[in-house]
Amino acid sequence: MHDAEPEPEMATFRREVIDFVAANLPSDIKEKVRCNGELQKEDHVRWQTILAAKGWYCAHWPQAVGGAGWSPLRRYVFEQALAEAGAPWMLPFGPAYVGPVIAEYGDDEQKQRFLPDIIASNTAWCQGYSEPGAGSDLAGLKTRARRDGTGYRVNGQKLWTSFAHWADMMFCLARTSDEDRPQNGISFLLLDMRQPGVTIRPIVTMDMRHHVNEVFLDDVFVPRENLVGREGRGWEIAKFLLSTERLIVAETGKARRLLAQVRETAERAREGGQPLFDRPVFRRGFVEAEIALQTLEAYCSRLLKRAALGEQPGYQASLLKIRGSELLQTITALGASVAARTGLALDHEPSAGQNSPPDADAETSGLLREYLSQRAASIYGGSNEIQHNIVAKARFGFQ
Amino acid sequence: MTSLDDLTALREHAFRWVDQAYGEAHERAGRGLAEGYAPGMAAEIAGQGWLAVMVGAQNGGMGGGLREMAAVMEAVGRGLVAEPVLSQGAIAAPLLDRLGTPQARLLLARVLDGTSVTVMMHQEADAGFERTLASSRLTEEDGRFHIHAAKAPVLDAAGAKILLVTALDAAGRTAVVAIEADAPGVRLVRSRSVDGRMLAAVHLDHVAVPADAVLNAGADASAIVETVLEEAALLVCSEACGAIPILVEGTADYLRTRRQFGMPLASFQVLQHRMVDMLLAAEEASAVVEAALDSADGPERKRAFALAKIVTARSARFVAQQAVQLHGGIGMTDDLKVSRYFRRLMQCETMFGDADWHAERFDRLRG
Repeated sequence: MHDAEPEPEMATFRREVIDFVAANLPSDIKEKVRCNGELQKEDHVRWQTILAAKGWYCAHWPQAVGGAGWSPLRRYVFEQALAEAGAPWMLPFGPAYVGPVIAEYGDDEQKQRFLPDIIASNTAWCQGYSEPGAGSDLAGLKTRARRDGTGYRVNGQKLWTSFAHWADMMFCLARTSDEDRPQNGISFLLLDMRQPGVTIRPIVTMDMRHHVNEVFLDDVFVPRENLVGREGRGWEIAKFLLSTERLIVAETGKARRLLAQVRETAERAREGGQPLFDRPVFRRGFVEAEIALQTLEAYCSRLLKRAALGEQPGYQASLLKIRGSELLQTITALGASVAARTGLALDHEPSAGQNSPPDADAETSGLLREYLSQRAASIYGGSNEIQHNIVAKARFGFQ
Repeated sequence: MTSLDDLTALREHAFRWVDQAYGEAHERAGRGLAEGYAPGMAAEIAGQGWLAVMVGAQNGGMGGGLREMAAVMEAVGRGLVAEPVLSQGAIAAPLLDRLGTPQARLLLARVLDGTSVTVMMHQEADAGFERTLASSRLTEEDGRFHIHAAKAPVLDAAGAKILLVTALDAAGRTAVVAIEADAPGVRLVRSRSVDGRMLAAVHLDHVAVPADAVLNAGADASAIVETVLEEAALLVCSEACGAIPILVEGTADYLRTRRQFGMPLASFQVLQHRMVDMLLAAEEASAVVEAALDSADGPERKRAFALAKIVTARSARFVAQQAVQLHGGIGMTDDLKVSRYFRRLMQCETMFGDADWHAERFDRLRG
């Protein structure tokens, strides 16, 4: 990264993104996001297609594979502005996860076969990492890929697989040999979900939604040409994937939008004859969340400036993950506190609230639901405790 | 003094100086002295230009700004420099520079050459952290001025030759009045601060002052005073950012070497995680100060400055407390630098408003 981009240009770009969302995000999707309603796969695809037409989908990919070669800073500004403006969460599995992996480690044939279909939203992906016995300790995974003729036969069970029920393909880690270190002998495979032997069982989480699944793999075939990189080197690829995600791990744009929403709902909600927002103890909590948000933004901006000077973040990504998850949990807890004033209602009859401001209840319930789902933020992607371990080792050399 | 290279060079030079030339003996030298610092060392520091960093070139300064002074203050925190740098280079000098009157420029020259420690006295005795003037008065009768004020204890005032006292004139404008510390009617009440440096409060009971001592020359200096206080609050954060990493690294080193239960403390996960939280606090403090420096000329200046003080103050407290905790009993002793950094960081944390005061301000300033 030598093309340090000037801040005024980034401010203009941010404005452009926010204006684009205002003008182009379909109103039904916008409404779902605002109230944390249940987005369908079709909603995501519709929005992805609009972004792709603008050249803003997968734009962080290298130009050689159909991206725009955006810098980490531009990508960060883009993604935070999208989220702040109320665009849906971008399903990361194709554009952010497997896309960059294939671009970096895939052969030309793989690039041709998989990448254009991600940009065109023809193929939906999911990530097959976690297993019943391998969560935080991912290297303990047991799913096995055995050589069989022109490819592999995969047997095992994946767990917490987000949006497997929408996916055409899964990128997964499977053990191809047993080595001295559990990290060795793992391979990175691209697995067709639409074939016999793949069984998906939905898991409803405590936000009462179905995002995650159990995926059973029973003698599932993966052709040899779907192995990415060298056999047994999947761990290295998984680590590369994490490194590309480092600087966008903290969802400050989403946090900004949710905090604004907390403020609006707390200004509408009344307590003891005044807006809840003006109650000193509630306000104190709000101020603390705002301080945490702006602190995290300052930290991101510091790291991005360093990255533009060629200093790539290492352990700092784990610190971003810790603070980013805490922040979303803090903000949504305030939302739950607003919702608590009206009985912690999670769903509403469609006809309710004729005389109240439209959707005020739905918005508050949306924050409550977000509070429930954000409890996972400090667990997935390496729990915050694991992140502490990583930093202790990487920064201080503690064993 | 605007290029990144110059800034880096200034910072590196200042760091090198505290690391090599300013040892523990210097840091402690002022403890028994009325000034709270070693006057000879104060002159040496003035001689290397640290007090002139923020002063315009036309007034004999370096023409630098906040960023440059922030680099110097980081070095001050890193080495626990006890001599007056903040009170001179970050407060008195820029204040006199901005006032710009002939008398102010005269006083400024003496601050820069180190011959006259000059300390701004603004905070009123019963104002807490609030900066609004209420009871400090400057009156004029037949061209003769009198000042009446009770000011809260200020660092380095015990050794000051000149006090720059703020007061409201009859028209409600903020005046800045230069008073010799040993002039008749000036009552200094000295005390020793938690970090060993000396404070003094001042009581001025209708003290007569010559007309040329009124440095604002009839103009309202409130905006200048507010700017100086805002920037001083940020620069004290930079001082903390210089001190905090010393505790982080020192504590990590201690955990690596100290053994209990037959193994190094560093092998205990609870202590490893605590160290990571200390590191996080340290990095956040540096990040918010950097963000404040970036916002210094923009519309978000005041909020960004408040945020910097809130976060730095909390980080300073957290890191200092945990450094003592992780060192155990030895961390309590005056012999070990940990406790001395702890006490200096208490000053950084609370000077010009603590985290709570700035959090209220942060809330009030919201759009």
